[in-house]
Amino acid sequence: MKGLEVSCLQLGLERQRRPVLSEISCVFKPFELTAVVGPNGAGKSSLLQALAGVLAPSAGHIELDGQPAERISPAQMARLCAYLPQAETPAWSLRAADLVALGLLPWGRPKDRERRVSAALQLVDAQQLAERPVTRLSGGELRRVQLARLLVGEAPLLIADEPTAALDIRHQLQLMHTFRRQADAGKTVVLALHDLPMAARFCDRILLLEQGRLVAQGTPEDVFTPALIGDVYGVTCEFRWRDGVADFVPLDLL
Amino acid sequence: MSSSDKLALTLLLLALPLALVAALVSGPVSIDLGAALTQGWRSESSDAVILWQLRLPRALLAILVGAALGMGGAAMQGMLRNPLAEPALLGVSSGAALAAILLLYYGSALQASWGSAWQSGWLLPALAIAGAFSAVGCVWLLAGRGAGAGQLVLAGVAINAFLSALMALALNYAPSLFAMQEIVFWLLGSLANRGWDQLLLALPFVLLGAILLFSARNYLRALSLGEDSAASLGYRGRRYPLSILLGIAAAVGAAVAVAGTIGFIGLVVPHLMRPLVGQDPGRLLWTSALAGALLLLLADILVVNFVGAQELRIGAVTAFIGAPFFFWLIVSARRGQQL
Amino acid sequence: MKKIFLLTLLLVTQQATAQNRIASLNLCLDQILLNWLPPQKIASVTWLSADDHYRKAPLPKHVYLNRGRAEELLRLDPDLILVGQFGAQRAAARLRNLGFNVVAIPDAYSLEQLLDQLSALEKTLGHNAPLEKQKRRLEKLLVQPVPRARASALILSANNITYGSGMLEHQLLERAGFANLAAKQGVEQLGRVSLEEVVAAQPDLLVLYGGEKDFAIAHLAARHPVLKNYIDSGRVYTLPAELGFCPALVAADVLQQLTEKRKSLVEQR
Repeated sequence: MKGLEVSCLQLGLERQRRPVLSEISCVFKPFELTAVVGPNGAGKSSLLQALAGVLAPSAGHIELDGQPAERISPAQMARLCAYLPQAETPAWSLRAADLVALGLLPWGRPKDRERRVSAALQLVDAQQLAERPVTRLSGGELRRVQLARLLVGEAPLLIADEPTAALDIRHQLQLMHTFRRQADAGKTVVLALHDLPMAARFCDRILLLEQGRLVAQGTPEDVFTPALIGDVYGVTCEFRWRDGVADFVPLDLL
Repeated sequence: MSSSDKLALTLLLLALPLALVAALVSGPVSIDLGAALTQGWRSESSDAVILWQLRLPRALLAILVGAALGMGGAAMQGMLRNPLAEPALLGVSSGAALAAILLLYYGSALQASWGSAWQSGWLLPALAIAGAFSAVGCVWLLAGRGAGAGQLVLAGVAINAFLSALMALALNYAPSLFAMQEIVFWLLGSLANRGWDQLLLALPFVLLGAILLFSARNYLRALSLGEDSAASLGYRGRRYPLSILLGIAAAVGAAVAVAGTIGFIGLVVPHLMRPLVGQDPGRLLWTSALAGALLLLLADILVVNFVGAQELRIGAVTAFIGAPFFFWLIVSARRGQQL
Repeated sequence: MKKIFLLTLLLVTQQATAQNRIASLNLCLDQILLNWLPPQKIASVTWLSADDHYRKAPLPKHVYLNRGRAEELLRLDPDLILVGQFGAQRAAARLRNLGFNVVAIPDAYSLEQLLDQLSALEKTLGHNAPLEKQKRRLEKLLVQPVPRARASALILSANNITYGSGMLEHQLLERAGFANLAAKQGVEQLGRVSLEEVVAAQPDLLVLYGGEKDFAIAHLAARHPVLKNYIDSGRVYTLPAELGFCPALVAADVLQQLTEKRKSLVEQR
């Protein structure tokens, strides 16, 4: 699979004339799993929406493989990037398998639709939910079905906003393994996460946002330092690194 | 789609020609249907004239108007992601009715300058659709740029109420002895005394609307995930909601121009059909068109067979047939099934 | 004997009535005044008469448009106030108590009542050429024998209403030698007739009720293409709107025209 490199240059974004992102410059590469972290309201979701082309930037620009995003048609963009928003409420009580199949819309009606849908459901351990109406799933079950919708297509760029929220620990781990494998297979994966140890364990790169600005970017070891975390989140904490796995202990408020 | 759903849809499809036959045999005069059919549509015998010039165009108009309303309702519910939406919600019907009323009752001045357009009869549906568009345009402007479904609904309710008031006012001052009664005609709809001319007027616009709506079916599908997800699936920008609104305005506007505002079909039919198509908003479009056509045709059969001093209003009948279905839906939802 | 009595009555009333200021509280009587009386004699008519729907004769400027209230007429001090059988009864009673000359003219829903109405008018208004002419014409038409070669007719009015037995319209059709198909089907007074019933009944003459040139859905039936045949072949007669609210003005004309229409239809056969 051909990977996709996404770069942001001096990206700025406004919502209702209030700046929510400013001067973000970063690069997302194939084979890389990137976590966007930061406190509530730091602009994580906004950055993801800009990357997915859902929101148009008010300053700077985004390039996909060197091509300016504004020159890519929405249909073309949909084939390049799959995006799962933070809260996605299905309007109708579709069958779970039908909801997953919606992820294939940018590709028309591929012949092996059924197979792809069940494969995607298997990736999130939800094949037994295929026939259930989505309004009768629990929060975690619905989230897994929605993730299957994200994974069912062929987009080289995957963007998910807090995919592990609402999941139990088993499914959190399973899901992070899935994203890891997607990245290893050559995809560019960007996740917004609140779970810092999970981010440290699975991700190659961390972007730390605070109040719409990029405070730090780099490997987990670079970013997750007590000083930076203390600055941004206002907590004292401790990291214990064991074989690349971070044990993160928040101690108290600063 | 399960096999029982497929069976139900097939039955609906079969019921339509049956209902058409029922509509052709029902009327105050009993005619020899076989003879009238064989005599052909140019025949001057009274049976043939009744069949070909009165009953057939009326039944086909019921099918056309019902289909437009059913499809418009399905599209409106899909676009607003709200099961309580109906095609009239964004002022489409009252805009069309107001334009039609202004033209019909005050348009004698226009008749002079637009003589040829008037004669060919294109002016009425064209203006009705223009009225529907202006109503939608006002809603769009009032709701503001990039408004969500909630703001659209609020703006629609406001514009709709205003247009209804204007409609009553226009009819009150209309130079017609029947002004008050005409308000009822427009608000409850009527298919009585309609012929091929009205059918042919509405047909191209309903077809245009159907094409517009049908081509936006994947947008409606994507929209069942929400606006952000739909945008990420390639349905970004104002093109898609506009084409839905245009489609509804064309189809429903034309239906209102020839038959008045017939309520309830656009609201209840998509509900009835949704379980049969696995809640898919795309397939819901054509199944709602089918069921809307069937429901309105059945309602009209009831109207035709009703004996009374005054014509029974078809809008009252659709509410009469539709409301019990709605009760049943609510009760079954209470028992834990999904709406 | 009866004639002599009438004649003397006429003379007496003529002498007794030198009315110069006449007011009316009834739409039909308004029209009769406006059509048949010199304008300077008319003091007031009802406001409805200003409407072009009802009025053919010109409306003189000095005529006051009343809304059927006693005080309006009080001010005008008319010599004679005409009132119908229904409507404005309270105002009429008040004016009568105040000593005004209030005369009730019966309404006309049949040919017999129509003659009574014309007689009552004659008695009240005194010598009046157009009124007498109209009455004589009607009487002359009514003594003519009903023609034997009959044709059928059906009335299609606004909102698919038809007129059955017991209506003035029915009487006029029958007198003109038409069989009213609605009455034959048992319609008394008013009934509903759908377009298909019109087509199936195949009347020789289709009678529409005219009056309104403006659009109304109520008139949609009369514009339906299935009736084109009737219009193209001249088998349509349109009753004047006045027949509905003041038959005295037009009944004789209608009867004459219908008789001629029947003749030409029978000849065409």
